[in-house]
Amino acid sequence: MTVPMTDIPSPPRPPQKGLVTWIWQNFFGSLGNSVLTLVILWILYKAITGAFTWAVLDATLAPATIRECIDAGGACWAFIQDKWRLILFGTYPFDQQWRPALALVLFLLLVIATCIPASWKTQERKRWMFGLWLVGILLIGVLMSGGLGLPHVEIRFWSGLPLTVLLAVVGMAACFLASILLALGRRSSMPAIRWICIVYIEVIRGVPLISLLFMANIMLPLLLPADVTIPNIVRAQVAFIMFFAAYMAETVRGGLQAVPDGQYAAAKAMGMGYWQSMIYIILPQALRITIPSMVNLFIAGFKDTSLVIVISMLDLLGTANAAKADPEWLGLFIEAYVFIAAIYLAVCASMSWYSRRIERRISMRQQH
Amino acid sequence: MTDLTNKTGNFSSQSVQRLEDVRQRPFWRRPWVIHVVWQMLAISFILYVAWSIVANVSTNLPRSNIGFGLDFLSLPTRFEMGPNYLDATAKSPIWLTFAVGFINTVRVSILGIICCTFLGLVVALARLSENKLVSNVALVYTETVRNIPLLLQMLFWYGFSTLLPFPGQALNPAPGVFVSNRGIYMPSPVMSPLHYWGFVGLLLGVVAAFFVYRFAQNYRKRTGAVHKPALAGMTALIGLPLAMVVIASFGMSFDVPELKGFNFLGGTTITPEFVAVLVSLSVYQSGFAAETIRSGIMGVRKGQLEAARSLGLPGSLVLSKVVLPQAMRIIVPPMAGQYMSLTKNSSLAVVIGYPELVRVSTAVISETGRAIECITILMAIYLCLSLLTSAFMNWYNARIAFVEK
Repeated sequence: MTVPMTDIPSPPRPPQKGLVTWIWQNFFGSLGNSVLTLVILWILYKAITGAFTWAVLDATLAPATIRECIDAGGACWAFIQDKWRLILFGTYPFDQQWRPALALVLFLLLVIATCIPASWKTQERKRWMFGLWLVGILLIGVLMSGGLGLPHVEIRFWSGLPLTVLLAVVGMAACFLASILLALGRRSSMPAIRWICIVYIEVIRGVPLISLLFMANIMLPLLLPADVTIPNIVRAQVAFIMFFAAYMAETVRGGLQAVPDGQYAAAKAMGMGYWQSMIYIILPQALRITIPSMVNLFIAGFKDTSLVIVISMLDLLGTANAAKADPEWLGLFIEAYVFIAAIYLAVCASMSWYSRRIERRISMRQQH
Repeated sequence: MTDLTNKTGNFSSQSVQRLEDVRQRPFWRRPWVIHVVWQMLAISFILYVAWSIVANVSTNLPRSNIGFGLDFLSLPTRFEMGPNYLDATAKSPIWLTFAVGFINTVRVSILGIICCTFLGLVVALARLSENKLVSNVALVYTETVRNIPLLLQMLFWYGFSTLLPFPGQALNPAPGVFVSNRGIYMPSPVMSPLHYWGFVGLLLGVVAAFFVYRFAQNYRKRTGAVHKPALAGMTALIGLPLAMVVIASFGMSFDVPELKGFNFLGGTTITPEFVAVLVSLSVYQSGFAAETIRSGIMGVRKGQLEAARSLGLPGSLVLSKVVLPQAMRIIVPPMAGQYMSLTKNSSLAVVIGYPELVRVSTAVISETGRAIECITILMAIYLCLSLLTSAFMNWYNARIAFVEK
């Protein structure tokens, strides 16, 4: 009874290893391992020094012409310094480009706030978050298109990074709703609805996105009444939603299948109808487990927005292509592609990092 | 306490009440009526969409003076496809051009599948390596190639071909081999009838090797003794065709590329488009393949490995008889999906002008205006490919599925 807490022996610690032992065991444990380590080290050394020489030592900064860049032999950052606003904001009026920039920052802040689990802890905070999103979306809309004293900018001038983000975010939000309906339809007990959903999902998953984009761009005008014209961006967006909804529906279906049968039975026993039990019991559980795959789909969607260049829209990749087509800087492409690749990489890698974190949280919760 | 019983009592009587409600629901709220109505609504919506499309097309097409039907497939193509296996030219019918596009899609997809599997396996093994340096380099590789859009990677690799010299100043790294911004030119062997004996030898070798392995297997089952089939099999598989080729190589000649005017003629050409598509597809998909293979190998339970080792199996048998067969069960289904998405992703090659299906379709559309037919053909071909793949996968899955005894 009187044993003081401090006397309870702590579990034995693993024997401490020195740094040298650790390095030795990990990198030079055997002959093969040592050779591998040395080869990799040599390749890394070559790659890093090569990249450093190209990007820093031999690089040219503004003011410089393409001739000086070629003579220096390294990266021509003068090209990016000249063109970065074209690459980021495309054909958006030059003197108004602070607006899409501000909109992007606003959106980023909203996303960061949403990704912090603490902002969803209480009912009050949830309400705050919804309010924030509503206000944020309104503000972004005003910033992008004009109003409240800002001059109006037509939607066909939106390009570059804002267009990429817009296509991805609006597309995925609409996909989310469509995919839930499709997934529920595929598991429905009504044969006609089930078969419509199955055929839709399987057909869309069997064709490339590019064919849907061509369909929306070339075929759709023939399928619609002659007096109806739909803007380019909307057609691309619809093709995008149609495509990813099929993939997301399969993800949601996986989540629905993972909900135990007892939950369905319990909802029924409570006297809930189909929609009530889905909305209040089944979907919240099903969607929670699909979050990691949803994020992966979002990454895929964000990357695939680059396909809209085939229907000559200027997303981030399109504006980079436009920048490299400038006769003044003809022949330079690596700098522009590295610049936008860094943007894509940063966005996608942080999303995939976040999805792995959520996955770990979910699996931890399941273990307890 | 009394409160509780009251509540339960109330609840049960309520639910009995509800049950009776269901039976006496008004006609339009009975489940089967609701089902019928929903399905009728869905079907009529589909029919309405189909009808309005037909109606719009039949008013739009005559106005734009574009015909309808598949008759255009036998018209001449009127654009050049470049060198191809079917010798299609601007005078060949359009269906032949589609066939060329199909062959190009399949060719780059199959090569891409082979390359991405091999690369993916190497990267997966590197990620599983005990060597922290190796596994971290592999991690950075997969994260980088997976998170940069494929189209960007394709354009990036294609861009390098513009840095190469014009055919006039082509690099000449080996005799007969030229590298220029129009492609890599190599000498090609001129086919003589004798060469076909080489292929016949290969065929014979495959058949012979198959029978050698069958014999070895039966021998082991009958006697329990191991009959090493490798040597005899290899002799049959390599020796026979080799002998045939050696025989055939007497009097073999090469067609060496030569600079004629602005370009090289003769030999075989590897176009920069093809190289860019193949490299970007293989690299991009190898990141996904590596993750799949890694999770498959990690999915084999540790106990299996320990059990195999405690039986005294040597390391090679542990891998080939215990780990891989079980890992394959996890790897194959997602891998099939990735092969399919690689095939679909090869359609992005349209952007850099590799003459695959989408490129052919868009060229034919701009030549004939038959958008509806061309895009339908395009989608139908991809759909068939993906249905074939999934049918094959179902068959394969059923074959390797775990049989519980």
